[in-house]
Parts: sequence; structure tokens; C-alpha cells
Amino acid sequence: MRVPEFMAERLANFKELFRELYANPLSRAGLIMISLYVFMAVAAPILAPPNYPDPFKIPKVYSSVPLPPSMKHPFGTSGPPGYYDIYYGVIWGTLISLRISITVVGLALLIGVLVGGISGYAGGVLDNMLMRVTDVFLSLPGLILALAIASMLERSLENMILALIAVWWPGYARVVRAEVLKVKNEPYVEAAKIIGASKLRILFKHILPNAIYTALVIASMDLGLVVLVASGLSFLGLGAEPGTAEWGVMISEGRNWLLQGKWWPVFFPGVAIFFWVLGWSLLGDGIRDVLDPRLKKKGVIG
Amino acid sequence: MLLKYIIFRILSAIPTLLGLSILIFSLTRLIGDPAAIYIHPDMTPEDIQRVREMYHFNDPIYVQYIYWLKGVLHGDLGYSVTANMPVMEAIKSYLPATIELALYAFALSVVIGIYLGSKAAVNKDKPVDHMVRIIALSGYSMPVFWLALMLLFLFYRVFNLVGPGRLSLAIRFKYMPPYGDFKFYTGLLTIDALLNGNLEVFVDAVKHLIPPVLTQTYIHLAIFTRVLRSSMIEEMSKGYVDFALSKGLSYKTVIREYIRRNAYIPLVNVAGLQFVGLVSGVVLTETVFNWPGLGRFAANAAMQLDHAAIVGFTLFVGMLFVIINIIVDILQAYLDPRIRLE
Amino acid sequence: MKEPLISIRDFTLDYIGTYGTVKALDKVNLDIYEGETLALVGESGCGKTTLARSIIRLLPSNAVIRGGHILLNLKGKFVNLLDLTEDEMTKIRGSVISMIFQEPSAALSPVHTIKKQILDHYMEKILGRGISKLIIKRERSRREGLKRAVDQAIRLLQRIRMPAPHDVLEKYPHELSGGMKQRAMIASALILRPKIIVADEPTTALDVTVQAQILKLLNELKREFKTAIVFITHNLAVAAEIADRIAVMYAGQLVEVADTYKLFKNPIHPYTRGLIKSIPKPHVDEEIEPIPGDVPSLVNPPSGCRFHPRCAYAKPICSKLRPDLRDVDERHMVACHVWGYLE
Repeated sequence: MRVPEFMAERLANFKELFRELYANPLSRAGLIMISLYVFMAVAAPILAPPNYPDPFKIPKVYSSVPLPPSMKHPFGTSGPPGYYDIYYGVIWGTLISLRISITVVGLALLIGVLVGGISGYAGGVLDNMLMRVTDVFLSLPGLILALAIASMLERSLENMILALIAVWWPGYARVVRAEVLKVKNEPYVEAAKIIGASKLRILFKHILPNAIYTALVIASMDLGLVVLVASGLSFLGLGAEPGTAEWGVMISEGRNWLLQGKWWPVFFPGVAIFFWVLGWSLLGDGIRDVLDPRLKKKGVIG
Repeated sequence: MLLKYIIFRILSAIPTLLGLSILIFSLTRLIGDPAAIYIHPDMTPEDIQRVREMYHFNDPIYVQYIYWLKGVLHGDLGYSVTANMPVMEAIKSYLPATIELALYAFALSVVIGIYLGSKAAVNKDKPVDHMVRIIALSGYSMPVFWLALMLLFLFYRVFNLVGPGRLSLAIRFKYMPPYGDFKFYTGLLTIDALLNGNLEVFVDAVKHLIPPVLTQTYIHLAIFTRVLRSSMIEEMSKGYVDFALSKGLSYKTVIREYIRRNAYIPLVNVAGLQFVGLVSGVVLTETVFNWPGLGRFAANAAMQLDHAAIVGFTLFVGMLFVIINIIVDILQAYLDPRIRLE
Repeated sequence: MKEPLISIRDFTLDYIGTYGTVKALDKVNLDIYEGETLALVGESGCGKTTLARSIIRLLPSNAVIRGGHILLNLKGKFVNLLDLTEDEMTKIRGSVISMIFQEPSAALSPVHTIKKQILDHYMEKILGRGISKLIIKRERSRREGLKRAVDQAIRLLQRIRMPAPHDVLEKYPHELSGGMKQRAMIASALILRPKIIVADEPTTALDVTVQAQILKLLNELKREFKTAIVFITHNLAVAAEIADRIAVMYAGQLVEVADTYKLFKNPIHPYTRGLIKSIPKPHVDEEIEPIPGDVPSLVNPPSGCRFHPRCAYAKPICSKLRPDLRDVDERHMVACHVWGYLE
């Protein structure tokens, strides 16, 4: 089936793609949400004057208890340590989320495509072994494995990102390998072989560009999911340090105030996470529908 | 032949289990002093030395692996400093609470998910469908711990219905050992309460189960709904629907007998994954509700760097996953006769 | 001449689509008699499947009936099938009108046994409850009923020459060959002794040898069970083999209806003649003559007689007025301004 080629053609007409994404109400909603986040990230220095020397550490607001939302602090304040402005945290948290999601998905995709591509193309023992390895990684739920890895390393945002990359790449490897197996036998690959192109060239120029579309669609949705898992890890204390503008960590700090009736430290960062994941899921589904409407709908909308 | 398939399936899981053990083993060697896993707080230096010899820490790494594996197969997963008991024992003691939570949440999400998914598929593109899809979408995008916290806030602070934990203090002081003579049979409070004939404990346990179960159910029914809906929609356009209708069966009958049955097949696959996904969610949910289960144990261990516990927990979950996968595959072969032949 | 079993008058049907409304059927008039095999012949998109499915009323949701009626002769009384409620139609399906499909693998559910698929409607209609219900009381009578049903099925399968019927009943569709699956479907269609079977290209997906077997089987069965068969096919040769009468359709219009022999001996409508000429005859030294032009889009069909753009004999009236079906001979009707009025 000419699915990969069909997708390639579609991707080439960016403008038309965009228009179709905009047309579908659900993916339009996703597009709007993500654009808002991107805007927040880019305009962060204007929306919330940065804290020096590290803008990602939320500036302290001194008060004995968290203050409810007001004009001065649109989302209220939270703490400990010190008491900080939640609005600031949510805005700058967008940048952190962008960083986490792009890094994790980008690197995991890179590793996954390479491993899956080589595995699918080479076949035989190498394929078998690599697939066994991915099987093992996939035999653990993402959060748990990331938890295990992150707890073995020193607690930091970077190490959490590393742990997430380690958890995420096997999924891509599997998907890419499956596509490579299908694409391997396509006529144009045979043609390249006959002309005498080297194996590496065939892999990179002909097979991979066509095999990665499914992985790309999944990746677009993963940009949302990664933040979901990352915030969970931070919530458990395995990611960013307390006081950092990261949504998960902010929620863990706000947790104790919840039972005293102060809901805003937990509420606003959570809403930020929710719409982030929602936006990417809708967008990712929309991208998939637009790239190949014939693909079976097994996504969030479907 | 179903039996042959079962045997084949079990055998093919062994390499995966082996690989899993290797992965976990390598994790244990990531930390500074791997022997820390086996070390008791009240061990003497001689004890520690003996531990090192027993597990051959001075030998090359593959020998260490053998001895580690041997230990694991004998139930020795090291000592947990957070729980103050061997990891294996900790797992055993915390497991029932998690099972109770996971079981109810799983059952509810499957049942509600099937119902909603079916309704949505049959009423495709009508308001019912849109409502169901929004519910499913929101459940999927919501952070579990955030939902848990919000529900905790609602139930505890706003409605003043129930607090964290499995039982209220009053009940605990009244019935639980060492104050009372409540007997534990399964470790599941609801079942045991019924077996004890104790309605008060039963009601209290149920009350405390509601918020965490609700949290888990909401997140997970999202996926079941989605899968059943799309699978039913796919089945509805299949040829056998026309054939069944042409025989004079009512559309209701056709949905019930033919479409649903065919639509369940991908569901079983997802259900298996979901059950293990529940375990991840349980870590966060239990932490929020202070539920004395495996999840909270793992979360605490992670926060306090109790490596033995983390490793033991991870190994346990991995094994569970492999076993569940085997069961799922067998169930699928049972449901879909086409698979059995392969 | 006796009264027809099914009487289709001025039947017009559209499909509402995203690209416009497809005018699939245009004032079709057709009679089907008891016990006869009528072949509906035409190329893809001519409306034969739509017409046949209208009889059993299994149309997709975007089908809109614009006019006409389909009368069913039930013991002397005529009932307009289009007026019946869905519940009433459900009673008719399977027991009075049933259907067999082109792809037996697609038509049979992969996860249910053959027994279930042959018998579930029988059980529900004859015994009054679904085959999978568990009703404790009257358990014994239910078991007896099931046993009787299975016996019926076995006898029927034996009549249809299904090998090892007892074993087949317990099997799943993917364990049977194409021919056996088709036989199972035929058994299912026949078990309630319907008066008419709609057969939608039942042999097209089968190997040629199997096709011959099934056709032979159908020939025997129609004689024995006295069931009328509406046999849809695009293959004139198959139609010649099995049909008593042939109805030729083009672009949603019925152009010629005649006894099989008469149709081949003396085809009158230009399209029919073109169709017959289009059949490859390797043993005759004749060049093949395709009909010039293409099948028209039915969103904007040609006016009047829809064949006129491709017809060598077209006259001005052909594009203005739609020709009616007229008798041109005994049991031979043609809808054509030019040729349909031969005396």
C-alpha cells in the first residue's frame, strides 16, 4: 500500500496541510492551544519579568500563607520555600515544558529511528537482538522505568530528561522498524538496489524518509504526553528542584496547602498541564488525519 | 489448538523475562555502592563483609549477575530502608491495598468504558457521541496526580466526606488489630469486611475507596471508551453486518451478538496494557491519598533513594507485565479463533 | 400470466453524497415472478445492486427514495415494502426475502461458528428466542428446538452437497474454503424457505471451477425449493447459464428485459447489443467491438435516455424524453425510442 508515499506528498504541501488542520474544529482547537503556549513561551520575559540570575527559579513573595488570586498575583501565590507567584511559574514553566518535550521526543526519535531503521533493514540476528532489547524496555510502564532510572541518578532536571529519553526511544524503534519492513520491499527500493546504491545510502535516502511518518505522528502527540509523565516525576521529587518554574514540582509544593483550603497552588499548574497535553493530542490526531485520512482512527478523537 | 498456543506463548516469554532481569540488574549497578541494596541499618562491618562475599561483589560483573539472579529467584530482593523489612516482605504486605484499588478501578473503567464506547459508536456524530468523546479526551489529558488532588480537595475539604487512607481512625481503633479482632483473609478490606460480617468496616472501606477509585477510573476509562468506540465503528461497516441484517435479525440483535463480539478483540489487548498502566497511575494516586499500597511504597522509596525497594518494585512490575501480556494473548486467542492456528 | 411476486413500479432512488446527489435509479419498472431466476445485468454503477438491495431494503443511510413502490405479493395481498416499518421489514427478511453476498469471507463473522451463523435467525424466528439466550425454564424444549434446528441445517447442507456437514457446523469461517463458505451462506439464506433470494454477484469472487459448481447448485435448488432468485452479475455468460429472464440496466435505467434465449437470439436495445458484442469470443474470428464512450456520471446524468450520448442510433427525442419499457415481443420488453417500437 502506498501509504508512506501518499503521506510524503501531503507533507510537501504545507500550506494546504495547515488549512486542513485549521478546518477541523478539534485540531483547530489544538492548534490554538499550542499557539497560545508558544506565545507564552516566547513572550515570557514580557508577560512575567524574568528573575535574575536564573529566570527559571521563581522569585519569592514574602507572606506567611499562600495568597489567593488577585490583581497583583493573578494565580495567587504558593510555597514553601519562600512564597512565590504562581502566575510567574506557569508562564516560565511553559519554556521548561517546551524544553523537556522537544529534547526528549527529539532525541528519543533520533535513537529510535536509527535503531529501528537498522534493525528492520538488516534483519536476521541483529534485528532479533535489538527487538529483544526494545521488548525488555517496553515491558515496563514508562513512569515506572523512568522512576527507577531517575532515582538511580542524581536528582536533577537533566537526569530526568535522560531517564525519559531512555524510556521513550524503544516505542519509536518498534514503530519505525515495522514501517521499514513494509517499505523494504517496495519497488523503488529494489530499483535503487539494482542501480547499485550502497546499503547505507538506500537506508537513509530511500527507506527511512518513508518509514518515519507514523513515528512522526506519534511524536507529535508525545510532545504532550512527555510533559504529563515529566510532571508526574517532578511531583514525586525526581525532576526539577523545588522552587523551579516547572508545573509538576509546583503542584507537589502546593500539595500541603490543599487540605488547608488553598486550592490555587495545585489548580493552576495542573490546568496548564491539562491543556498542554490536550492541545498536543488534538493537534497530533489532526496531523494524522490530515496526512492520511485512510489510516485507521485509533487516536484520542477516534 | 489452544493448548499449543498457550505453551508456546509462555515459553516465548522467558527470554523477555531474562532480558528484564538483566536490565534491572544493570540499574542496580548504576548507583554508587551496589551492595547497599542488601545492607541492613543494624549490620556490623563483619556482616557487611559477609554480604559482599555472599553476593560476590568482588567478582566480575557476570558472576555478580548470577548471584543476584539466584537471590531474586529465591525471593531475596534486598532490604528496604524505608519499610524496615526485606523488600519481598514489603511488597507482600503492601500488595493487597493496591490490588483492591486497582481491581475496582479496572473493573469500573472496563464496564463504563464499554458502555460509553458502545453508546458513542451507535450514535456516531450525535450529541451523545460528542459528549463521550470529550469525557474520554479529558480523562486522557489530565495528570493523574492533579485529578487525585482535586478530588481529595473536594471530598475532604469541601464535602467533608472522607479523608486520606483506607480507613478512618475511629474504625481503625475500634476493629483493627491490635485493638480489635478483625481477621484478614485476602487483604482486601471490602471482601474481608464481608467475610467478617462487619458492615461498619465495609462501609468505611468503601467510602475511602471512592476518591482514589474514581481518580483511576476516570483516567482509564478514557482509553477503553476510545478503543471500543473506534473498534465498533470499524466493525459496523463490515460485511457481516449486512449479512446478519439480511437474515432478518434486528439491528439491536446484530449489535449485541455480532458487532460487540468482534469489537471486543482489540479491547482485550488494550485492557492488558491498561492494567499495567494502572500500576503507574497507582504510584501517583496512592501518594496523594496516602494509600498504604505498593504505589506509595515505590514513590516514597524513590523520594528517599531506597534503591533496594525501587529495584524490587520495578522488577515486580515488569514481571507482572509479562504475565499479564501472556494472559492477554491467551484470552485473545480464545476470543479470535483465527489466532490459534498461527 | 400469473401475478408477479414482486412488482417494482416507477422506482426512483438517489444517494446523497459529498460531491453531489447521485441519481442512482430512474423510474425503474420490473416484475419478478415466483420461482423464476431473473438476472440483473449491467456494468459497475448501473444500479443493479442498488435495485436488488431496495427489494430487501438494506440501503445505506444516505439513500433517499424519491418515488415509486415495490409491491410484494403475500398470499394474494400486495404489500408495499417501502411503507413497512423497520420492525415489519425485519420479519420479512430472512423468511420471505433473503440475500447472499459477493464475498463470503467478508459476509461471515470471523468469530462465530458456522452453526451460529446458519441458525441464529432460524432459532429466533421459529423458536422465538436468540440462540445465545440462557433461559432456564423451558430449557428442555429449547434444547430440543436447537437439536431440531441443527438437524434441519444438516439436511440442508447435505442437499447443498457440503462435505462433512456435522464437522462444518462446528468450524469457523476461516477454516473453510471459498466454495464451502458460499454454500454456508446459501444454506443460511435458504433455511427459512424464502420466496425470493437476492444474490449479489455470488460467484464473482470464486474460482471458475467453484463458480460452475455453485451455479449448478443454484440451478438445482431453484427447481426444488421454488425460490425466485434475483441474480446480479456483470457477466453475461453467467447470466445466460443461470437465468430464465435477463434484465439489462444502464446508468440507473432498465433498458431491456427478456427471456434469456430471446435476449441472446434477438437483442434489441443498442446497449444490449453492444454488451453482447463486447463478450470475447476466442473461437469466432470476429474483432471485438467495444461500445464507444464512457459510463456517465450519475450526479449529472444525461437527460432522457441515459444511453443516448453513446448510441449510434440516437435521435433528438432520445435526449428529451425518457423511453418507457414496451413490449416488443412476448416476454420481451425494451425501452428505446428507435428500436423499441418494432412491430
